[in-house]
Amino acid sequence: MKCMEVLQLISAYADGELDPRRRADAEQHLRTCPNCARALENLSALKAAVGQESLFHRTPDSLHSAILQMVDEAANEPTAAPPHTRQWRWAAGVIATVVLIGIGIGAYSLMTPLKQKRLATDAVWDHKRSLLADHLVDVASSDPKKVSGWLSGKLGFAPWVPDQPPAGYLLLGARVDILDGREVAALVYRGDGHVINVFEWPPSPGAAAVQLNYQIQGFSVELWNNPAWNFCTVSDAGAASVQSLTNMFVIEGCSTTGR
Amino acid sequence: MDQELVNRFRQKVLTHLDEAYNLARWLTRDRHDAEDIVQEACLRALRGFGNFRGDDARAWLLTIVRNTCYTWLKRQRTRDTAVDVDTDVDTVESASADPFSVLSRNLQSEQLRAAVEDLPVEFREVIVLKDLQGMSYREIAKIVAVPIGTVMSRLARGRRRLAERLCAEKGAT
Repeated sequence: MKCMEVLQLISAYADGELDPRRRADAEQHLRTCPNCARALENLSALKAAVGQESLFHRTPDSLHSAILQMVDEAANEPTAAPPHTRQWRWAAGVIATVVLIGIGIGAYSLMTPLKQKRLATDAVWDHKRSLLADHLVDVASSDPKKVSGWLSGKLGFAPWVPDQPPAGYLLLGARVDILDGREVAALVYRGDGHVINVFEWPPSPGAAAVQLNYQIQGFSVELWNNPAWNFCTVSDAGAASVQSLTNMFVIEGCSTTGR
Repeated sequence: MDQELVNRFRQKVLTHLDEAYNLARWLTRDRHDAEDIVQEACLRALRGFGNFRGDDARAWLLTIVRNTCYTWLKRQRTRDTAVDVDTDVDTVESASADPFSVLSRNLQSEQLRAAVEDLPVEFREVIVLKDLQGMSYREIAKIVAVPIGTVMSRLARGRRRLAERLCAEKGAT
């Protein structure tokens, strides 16, 4: 190995990340070349200096307790699924097969609403997070074409953004968010001092019509669909406003498609 | 949320909170932004934890933190000039006179901190993950989502830049 090669690999050598063959070659060179040996010594000094304890930023106590509190709150939030599961298990041990089948059917019909409730709760978390971390939009624009173009580039579908925002609302922009384990478009509007998140994604084929509303943690959530889109809107603007906004999306977005 | 899941989250994920904060702090170079980002990343991690199947919760959390930082950085891009560091030409020849030579001793940590903060973020993150957090090239490659060879060359070039900058400062004083 020549000096040039050794100098190129010296950083990986100092990190102990060279493969055995190149490591051996480099070692051999370093034993006989004082210049390269000095370069290694200096590099190791730099590594040690950068790695010193005083350059490591420890979590401030206030942040540490804020995060613990957030986790505690999440732990105390009721979820319907686990107790049900336990009840079914108990039933399985005690009740005869026929009864069990009956319960199974009951459970199946329960499952969809539970899933939707969870989705609505997820949407509230997304909404809160977007406000909490001041991360409302990834693309800030009131131009629907620009917003929809940006989203199309990030998502596997081309979301529909109404040409005109609903009366009294202003389009702030959009971001990509996660809902129910998939990437969705989040359109962000402001109206009357409230922020509204409109989550939009294509429904799975043959999905049944949905029109549900929830009140979760003080937010109104509307979960609607039409043949082209699933919509989930979240805001603290009041149920009536959120509902009429969603209604407009469902009606006007009917003839559009993202696929 | 499932109590048991939350307990596992505390044990497996929150034990790496210091590293999460350290990374966010070095990437954003701002205490308040780092705090917001770590909080957001933890919330994301908590919500996704039920679907987390891997065994490396540390790398998983740091990946989420890094991604959250990059979303933040994209919005700050007016300050940082975007350079494609991997194609940016800067060869060994230009540095054959051992750039590390002047350093070795007596580096003030404040001076060092400023010099590291001044590096382009692509260099800064690999140096922080390697030298401050002791991660392997393989782990870093996973978090930064680049091949191991790229981690290797970014580290080599980042350190050389760092050394050159520190030398220039020493020469100036």
